[in-house]
Amino acid sequence: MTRPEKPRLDFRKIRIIFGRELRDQLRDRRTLFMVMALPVLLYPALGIGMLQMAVVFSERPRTVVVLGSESLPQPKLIEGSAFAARWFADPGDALRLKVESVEQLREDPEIGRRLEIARRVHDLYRQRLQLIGSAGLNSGRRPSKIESPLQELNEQINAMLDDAGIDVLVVIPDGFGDKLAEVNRLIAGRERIAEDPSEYPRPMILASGDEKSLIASRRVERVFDSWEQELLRLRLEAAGLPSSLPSPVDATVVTVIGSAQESALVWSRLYPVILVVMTVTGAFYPAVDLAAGEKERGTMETLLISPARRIELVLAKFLTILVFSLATALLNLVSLGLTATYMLQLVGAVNPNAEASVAAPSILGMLWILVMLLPLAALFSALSLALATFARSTREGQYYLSPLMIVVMLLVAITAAPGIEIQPFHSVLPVIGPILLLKELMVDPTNADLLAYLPAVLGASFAYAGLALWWAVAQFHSEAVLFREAERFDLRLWLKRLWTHKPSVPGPGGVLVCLSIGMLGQLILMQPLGTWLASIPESERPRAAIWALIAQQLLLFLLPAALLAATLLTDLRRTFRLKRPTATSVVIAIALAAALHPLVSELMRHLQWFFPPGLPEGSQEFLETMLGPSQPAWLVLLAIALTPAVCEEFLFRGFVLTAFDRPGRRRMAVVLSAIAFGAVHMLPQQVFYATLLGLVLGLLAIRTQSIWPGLAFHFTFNGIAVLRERWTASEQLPAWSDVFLSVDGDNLLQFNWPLLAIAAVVSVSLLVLVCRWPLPRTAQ
Amino acid sequence: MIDVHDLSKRFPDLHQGEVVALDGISFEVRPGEVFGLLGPNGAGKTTCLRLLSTILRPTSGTASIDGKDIVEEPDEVRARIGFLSGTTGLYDRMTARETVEYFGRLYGLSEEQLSESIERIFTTLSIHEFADVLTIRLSTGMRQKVSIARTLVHDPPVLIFDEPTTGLDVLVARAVLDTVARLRDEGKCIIYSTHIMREVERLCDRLAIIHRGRILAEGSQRDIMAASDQPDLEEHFFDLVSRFESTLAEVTAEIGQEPQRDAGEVNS
Repeated sequence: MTRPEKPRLDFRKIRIIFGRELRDQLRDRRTLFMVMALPVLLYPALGIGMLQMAVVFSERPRTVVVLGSESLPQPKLIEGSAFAARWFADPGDALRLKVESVEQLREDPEIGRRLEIARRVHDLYRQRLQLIGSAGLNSGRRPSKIESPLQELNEQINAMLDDAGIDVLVVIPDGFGDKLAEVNRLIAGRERIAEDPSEYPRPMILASGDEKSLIASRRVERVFDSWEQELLRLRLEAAGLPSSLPSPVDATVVTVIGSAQESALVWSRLYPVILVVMTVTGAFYPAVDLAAGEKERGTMETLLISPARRIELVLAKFLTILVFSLATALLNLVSLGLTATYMLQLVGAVNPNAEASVAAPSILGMLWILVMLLPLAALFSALSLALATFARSTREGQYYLSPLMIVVMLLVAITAAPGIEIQPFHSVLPVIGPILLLKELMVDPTNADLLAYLPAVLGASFAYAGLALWWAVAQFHSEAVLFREAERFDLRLWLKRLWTHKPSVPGPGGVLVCLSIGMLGQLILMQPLGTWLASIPESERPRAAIWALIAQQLLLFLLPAALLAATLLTDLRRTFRLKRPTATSVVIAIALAAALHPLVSELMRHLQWFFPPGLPEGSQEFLETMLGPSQPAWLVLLAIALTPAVCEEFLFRGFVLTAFDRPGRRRMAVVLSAIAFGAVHMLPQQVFYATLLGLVLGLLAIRTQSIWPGLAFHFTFNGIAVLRERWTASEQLPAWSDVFLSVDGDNLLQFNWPLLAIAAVVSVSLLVLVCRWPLPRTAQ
Repeated sequence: MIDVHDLSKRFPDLHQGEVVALDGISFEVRPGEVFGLLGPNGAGKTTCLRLLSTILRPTSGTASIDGKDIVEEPDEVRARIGFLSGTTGLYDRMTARETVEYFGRLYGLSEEQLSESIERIFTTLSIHEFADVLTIRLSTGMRQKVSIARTLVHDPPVLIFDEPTTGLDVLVARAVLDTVARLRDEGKCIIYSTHIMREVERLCDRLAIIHRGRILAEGSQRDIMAASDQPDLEEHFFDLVSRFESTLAEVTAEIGQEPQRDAGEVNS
C-alpha cells in the first residue's frame, strides 16, 4: 500500500486551538493576577519597603580600639571618640567609627576593660608573629608543623575580639611620634643618612575575619592614608622640598564615557538576569497547566480525538506559553525599570555624593532587549512544554522548574564573569550567546561589529528552540508519556527485570550510562593522570602518556559499552553490528576517508577564527613531543588511529547508533549518534569536526549494516593525520607532488587546490554511492 | 464501515512484564447497526476503542474506518468519527455552547454549518436551557449531554461509545440510550462498549463478548443465544468467562506460562 503524502500543517486549526488556550488562561483570574498585576504592584511596593528598611537597618558604628595613642604625632588623628573629620572624604562618615583609647578612660570605665583585652590580643599577635618567624619563611606555603598552633592562635584572637566587641584594633608603637619627628629633622637638615632611618616600628591595623570587621578596617586604612598624606606634606614643607617629590610620574587617568554608556553599564548587568528569570517563570506555570494539567483534568483525551494532529496541538500550546512568557518578562522589566529608576533618582537627590547617577537605558538599548527576548522566550517555552508534558500531574510538573532554573542560572552566571565578551564561539551557545550580545548592545547599540553577531546568535537560539519543540512533539507522540498512570516503582523489581527480561539491543538509558562514564571519566582522570605523569622521569614521559591514552580510551569508551552489552543485552552481534562486510564496502570506506581528510583539514584551517584558542602552550608542546618523530610510528598509530577507531566505532556506531535505530527514525539515529560522538571530545574544534565525521560514519554503518567499514574509515582518517604530523621538512617530496602538496611556514604539509578539487569530486561520488548502497531486504 | 482484522496491543509494564491488552481481535460493523463490546473491566474494550480512534497505535493487525486505515491515515479517521467515553473531559471554564463550537470549528465546519448543527443538536438534547452556563457549574447529566453534543456536532458517520452511561442516574442513562438508538436509525455506524447487560439487550444488534483481550463469542444476540444452553445473555456471559478462565489455568499449568495467541485458540 502506498503511503499517502504527509499532510501539511493546518494553520487554521493551530489558530483555533491557540485562541481557545489563550482565552482559557485569561479566564483564570488567579493566573492573570500573578502574571499581570503582581509585577506592576510588587516592584514599587518593594521599593517603598526598601526605603523604609534603610531607615530601620542603618548601620551601627564600629568600635576601633587604639593602643598607644600617647605616641601619636601631630596633626591630631583622633578627636574625642572619633577620628578627626578632616581625614574622611565625607565628614559624616567619621561617626561610623567609634574610637576608644586611653584618653577616654576617665569618661567610660568600660573602655578600660576593652583596652586590657586589646593588650592581650596584641600579645597573642606578637606570639603569632614569632611563630611564623621561627618557621623561617618569608612567603609561600606554611610548613604544616606550625599550621595547627597558628590556627589556634588565630581562633583565640578572633574569639577575644568578638567577645569584647572590638571590630578593629589599632596599635601605635611606643615612641612612634618621636621617631617620626627625628626623621623629619634629619631630612630637613639634609644630613647624610648611613642607615635608613625609616626602619622603625610602624602602626598596625588588626581586623578579625568577620565581614563587619573587615569593612571597618578598610575604613580605618583610608583614614590612615589621608592622615599619612598630610604628614608627608608637612615633612616636605619642613624640609623645604617640593610637595611633588614623592610622585615623579603622577600620570593622569582619564576615562571618556558617553552618558549613554555610563548609565547602561549598570543596566547591562542587571537586566539580562531579570530577563532570563522572568522569561522562564512566565513560561513554566502556563506550561504545567497546559500539559500536565490537561492530563489531570481528562481533557487531553478530548483533544487527542479531535482532527488536529499532535504537532498542531503542540504548536498551539507552545504559542500560548510563548505569549505568557513574553508578557511576564516585559511587564516585569518595565515595572522594575521604572521603579529602580525612580528610586535611584531619590537616592541621588538625597545624597549628591553617591556614585554616578543612573538613567534608564537608551531607546535602542531597550529595543535590543525586545529582540533578544524572543529567542530566549521561544527556547524556554518549548523546554517548559516538553518538561510539563512529561509530568504526570501538575504537582510533579512544578518540581521540574527548580532543575531548569538552576541550569539556566548557571549559564547566566557564566556570562557575568568579568572580562567575558562575545566571541564567535560563544555566539552559538544556548542562553550564553544572546545574553552576552545583549549586554554589549545595551552599552553600544549601534556597533557594527556587534551587529555582525546577530544572525549567528538569533539563528542558533531559534535552532535550540526548534530542538526543544521537537522534543515536545516527541513527548506528545509517546503513549507512555500521555497515558502514564502513577506507577509503584519498585527498585528491586526493576533491577531483577533488567536481568530476567534482557532486551536484545540497548536503549537510551544504556547510552546515557556509557556517555556519562566517558565524559565524567575524562574529567575525573585528568588530575590523577597529570600527577602520575609528573612523577615519571622526563625522558619516559611521552611514552607513558601514549600508553595512558590507549588505556583511557579502552577503559572509558570500550569497556562500559562492552560490559553493559555482555551482561544486559542478548544480541551482541546486532548491537555492535558485527556482520562481516563486503570487501567493496571496506575499500570504499578507506577511499572515502582518504578523500575527505584533505577537505576536512582545509575546512578546519579556515574556521580557526571561530573557535577559542585550543590547548595552552605547554600542553601543545607536550602533545607534539608525545606524538612526534621521537616515538615509533607504530606506537603513535596504535594510540591515535587504531585504538580510537576500535573504541569509538564500537561505542558510537555500535552501541549508541543501535540504541536509537528504529524503522523510520534512521536519520535521527545517525544525527544523534554523531552529536554524542562530538560531545565527548574536549576541544570545541574537535567537537565540530567529530560531529561532521560522525554523520558520515553513521551513514556508513547504517547502509552497510556493519561497523567494520566505519572502523577502516576511522583508522585511515586518523592515520593520515598522524603521518602528516610526523612528516618533517627533511624528508623530500617527489617532484610531481608539487602540484598537490606544499609546505607552509610552520613546516606543515598543506594541500593545494588541485588536490582538494580531486578530493571533493571523489568524496561526493563515494558518498552518493554509499547513500545508494542496497540495504538487505530484512533491514528495511 | 468499521473493519478490524487481527488487532493486537501490548503494553510494557514493570510488574507484569508485558501486558497483552488486545490479542488479535477481528470484527466488523456495518452502517445502521449498533455493535456491542461486552466484557468485564480490563477486558480490553477501552484499548480497542482507543485504537480505533487513533489515540493509541496497534502493536500488530489492522483496522479501517470508512475505508481509512487507522495507522496510515489517522487524521482522516478522526475526522469521520465521534468518540465519547467516561474519561473524555470538558473544559471547566467554557460554556456548553463554546465547547461545542470549538470542536465544531476544529472539525472544519463553517460558521453557517456550525450554528445550524448546534441549533439542531441542542434542541434534540434540550441543552438550550444551560447553553451559556460554564461547564463547572453543570450537573453530571448536563455535562454528559454536552459531551454527546460535542461528539455529534460534525455529523460523523461512525460513532464510538465507551461506557457512556458511567456515573449517570437512571433517567439520564435512559436518555443516552434513546439517543444512541435514534442515531442508529439515522444510519450511523455505532460501536458501543459496556459491561451492563441491560444496555446490550436493549440496544445492540450484534455484539462481541470480550475477555482478556480476546473475543469469546460474536454475532447477533439471537445467534449467540442459539449456540448456548444458558437461559439468558448474562448467564451465557458468565459461563463463557468461567470456562475460559479454567481452560486458561489448565493450559498455563501445563506449559508453565501464559499461552500466547499463536499457541492456538484457547477456546476450542
